[in-house]
Amino acid sequence: MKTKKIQDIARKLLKEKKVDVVIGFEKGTLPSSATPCFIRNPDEVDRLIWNSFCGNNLANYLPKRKDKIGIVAKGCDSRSIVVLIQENQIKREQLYIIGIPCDGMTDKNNVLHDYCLICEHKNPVIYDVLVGEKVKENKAQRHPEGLRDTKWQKIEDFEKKSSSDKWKYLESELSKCIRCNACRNACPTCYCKECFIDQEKPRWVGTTNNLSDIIFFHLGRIFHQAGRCTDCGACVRACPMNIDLRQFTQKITKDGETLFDYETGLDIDVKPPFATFKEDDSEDFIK
Amino acid sequence: MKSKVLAKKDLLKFINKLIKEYDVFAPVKKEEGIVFSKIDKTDDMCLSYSNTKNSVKEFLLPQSEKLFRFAKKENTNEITDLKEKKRRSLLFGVRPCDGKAIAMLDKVFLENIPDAYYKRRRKNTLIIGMACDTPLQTCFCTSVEGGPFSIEGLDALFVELKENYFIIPVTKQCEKLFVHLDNASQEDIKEAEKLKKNAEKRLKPVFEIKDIKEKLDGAFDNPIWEEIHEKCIKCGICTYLCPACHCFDIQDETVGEEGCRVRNWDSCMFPKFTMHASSHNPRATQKERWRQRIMHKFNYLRENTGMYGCVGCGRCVEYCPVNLDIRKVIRDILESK
Amino acid sequence: MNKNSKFRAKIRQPKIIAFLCNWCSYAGADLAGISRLQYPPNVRVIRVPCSGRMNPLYIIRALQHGVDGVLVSGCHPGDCHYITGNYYARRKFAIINSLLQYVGIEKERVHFSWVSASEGGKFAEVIKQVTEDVKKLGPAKKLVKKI
Repeated sequence: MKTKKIQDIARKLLKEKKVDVVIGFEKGTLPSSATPCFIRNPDEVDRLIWNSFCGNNLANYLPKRKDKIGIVAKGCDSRSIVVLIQENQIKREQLYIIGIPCDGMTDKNNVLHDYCLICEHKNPVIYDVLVGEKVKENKAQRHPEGLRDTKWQKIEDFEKKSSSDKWKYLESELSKCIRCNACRNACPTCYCKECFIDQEKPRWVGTTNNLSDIIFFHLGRIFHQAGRCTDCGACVRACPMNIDLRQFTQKITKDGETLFDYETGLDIDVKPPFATFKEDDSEDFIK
Repeated sequence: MKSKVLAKKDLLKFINKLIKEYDVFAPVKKEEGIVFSKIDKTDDMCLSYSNTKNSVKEFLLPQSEKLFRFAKKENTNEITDLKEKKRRSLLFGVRPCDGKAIAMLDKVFLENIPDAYYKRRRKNTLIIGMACDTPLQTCFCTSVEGGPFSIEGLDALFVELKENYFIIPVTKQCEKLFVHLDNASQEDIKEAEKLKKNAEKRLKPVFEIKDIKEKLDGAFDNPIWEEIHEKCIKCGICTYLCPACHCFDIQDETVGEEGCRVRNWDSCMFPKFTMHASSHNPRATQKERWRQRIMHKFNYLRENTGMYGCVGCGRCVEYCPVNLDIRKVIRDILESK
Repeated sequence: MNKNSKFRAKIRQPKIIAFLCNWCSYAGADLAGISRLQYPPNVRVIRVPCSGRMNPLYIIRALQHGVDGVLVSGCHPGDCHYITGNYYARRKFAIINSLLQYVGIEKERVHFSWVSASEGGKFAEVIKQVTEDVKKLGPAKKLVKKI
């Protein structure tokens, strides 16, 4: 159903030359998979599909593009697109957003991802055309391990641990890291021309698989996501070593919401938290 | 060398004996999946695996290898070599695809100008393979001149029969490990043959490898490269998990007034891989990087070493975050004009 | 040399890095000196143009390369030489401070303060307190890079 509609819209857009390329999903080479694809020829739109394996955040392909783009966007993708527009990585006029209300994406065993379980923006927040009916937003704060009081339960539980326990967990997770940079590259808002881990004059982070450097990389990357992470799960989905990165990225999202009352990627006209300030921002940690 | 058999119930005893003499590395089940790792006791070992997540290349060509240390002393600079490891290593349960990759690495690092660090580790390591009778859907070793029972690069190959392990010793160094074992009977040999045929049957070639070199020779300016790279996100998963990728980068790491020179894995997928000091980058976009990756694996290495740089283990296919499947890439190239 | 380092280990003093803004806290430190106020000698000062110039990664990098504590200090809100630099900085500090505590860096390792050019006394007080806190924790072990 949705597949057919996406194909029709894409065909029309390409035929009428409203866009140069449509970025969507096609069937992957493995069972239970879908893969991003770039369609330029109206005769090829039949390749486009839609199913519950279309997890990739396609906003990742947008930064710094110059052409006109039709893009298939779920709720999380659309929020990342908002962030990219806010940060001048792409212009709204360049985009034709084919919004798709999303019921959550599944892994290859057909299990819903954790981050989809607690998603509060299943419907695209920005779109030019919507495919299908809007779905009911889930504000009931479902948690992977059953119903919990708030969506931050997992983070709040972690906050209560002793600092040595926290550190132990961080070390045990990050010692799996092989520094393939997939988390960074899969993230739509990690688009720096030169990442701080690649900078050499001066060199910020060592190049080896030294755990201290690995932790520096991840802390730096996570910090840079403050006010920008939409919890789309791209980093954890890409990680080949199953590192629990969301335990840390969600903290940043939580702080953005609780300290600055800012939810990422909802409105292109609102300034992101680090581009603005309030005179009465909390400063109880400052002497 | 005669084939041997080892009863399944005696395997743990056999490994325990090895642990006393060698640093034994074997598949271990961890949070991140089944990975090759050092074992101190046989309980850690997990033999119900299709293939490990990491390849065994990290034990011969570590992700970060310290080459030497340096320190600033009062009037001079001091350079110290790092100590060699005394104990020998033994990799147990290496799949034949990874074994074949080691044979390829040997050609690169031991022929012409041998690499001292690789040579040291290689000489110190025994590699025991485990034949692969349950190939995954990502496996394609038979398409790249390998096979689920290939012995290339291995010192011995284990084949899991119903009640026994059938052992094919390949090199002399390995023979002494098996002297006390019984010789294999005719039935065992037959059973192993049958398993081999079955496994090979399940691995139908996914492309015609013999056409690829000629095709690539004339494909440098093929427009197909424009399409291949488009969805690549420039991460290093494919190259870091690949058992045959071996590109490296040498860096000096310092803390305060001392440091060491290290050799790190590098990846041709990273934009910085070919960055010059002048900040000119000869492989400016992902298109050139993908072309290099394919050309290197299927053309240049074949020309220089007689082997392909891809062994069909399927790790890059399985773990690529955007499902950029190297099998499809090769097929697309073969089909392109 | 060896003997010396053993001796040093016994009375190991914490090493603290203070990032001070050029216009207020640095001048505050100056005033503390001119006023002959005593404070512990454990701080090494790095002058930054404004607390807004502070890249929070400096803090992580400092901890990684062997300091036991970090202090970041700037002008009081509203007094920034560049009008709003410290307002922006405050938001970044709030996030990095909370992130570092969240991953298990002790709260007392990283400190923030506002010290104006006229607050020589406060500067000495802050340094005293920071040094005390860091001393209580002992040498930093987490994040320290060893090669």
